[in-house]
Amino acid sequence: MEDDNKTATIMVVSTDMDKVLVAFIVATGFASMGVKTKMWFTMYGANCLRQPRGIFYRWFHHPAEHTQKYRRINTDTFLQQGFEMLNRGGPGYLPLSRLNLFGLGPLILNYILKRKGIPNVEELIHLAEELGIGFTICQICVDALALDTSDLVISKVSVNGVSQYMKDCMDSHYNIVV
Amino acid sequence: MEAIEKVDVCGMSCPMPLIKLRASINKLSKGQALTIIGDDPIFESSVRDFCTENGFALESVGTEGRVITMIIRL
Repeated sequence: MEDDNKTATIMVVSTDMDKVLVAFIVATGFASMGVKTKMWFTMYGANCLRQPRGIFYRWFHHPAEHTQKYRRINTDTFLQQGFEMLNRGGPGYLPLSRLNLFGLGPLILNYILKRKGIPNVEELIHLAEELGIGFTICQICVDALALDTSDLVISKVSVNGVSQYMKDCMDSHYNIVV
Repeated sequence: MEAIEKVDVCGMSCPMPLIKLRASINKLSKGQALTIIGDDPIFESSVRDFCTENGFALESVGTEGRVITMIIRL
């Protein structure tokens, strides 16, 4: 009955809280059922792993270059800083895809989740880390969106490209992109 | 043999019972038993699926209102 070779790959491309929540509930449920799960984050999907920082944080805090080995600092532009100002991150600051109500929707949904005993996104990220789920961020996303990989909610994350994603996908029995 | 570990997941929704169950089972060795108590509407079917998927034996199921008590032998 027991099959150790079952694997699943879950890719998160969207920053919406409802989609990220589904991805993490599926991932933690699969991992606790004994399936080896890997999660991939690309583009805005990586927003849920970032530390919540203020709007002007990046203008005054420049990460040390030796911590940014997946980025080409010499081709960075000031537009990336502006982009990052508007592209707020953090597991507690994700919008909803529908009924966002200018930021009120996530607060309402978080209250409902708390009442129902369902963990929120931040708790699910830490549960997923404890269950041994592998986190991987796309390298293009790290470079283009100026993502600081040393300033994330989780401690252990790998950065890889599409070749590794292809290998993970072909090895796994289940793959979704949300 | 008595169940040596007791897990209470009352008030928690899917997938928290499974996560707590997995965390407790990782601490036990083969042959030991575990009691889990929950009141999630799909709690019983989730734990039954968990046992069949991982090859654990379900020893007893007791229902008391909405609260379900299950004993699992590894």
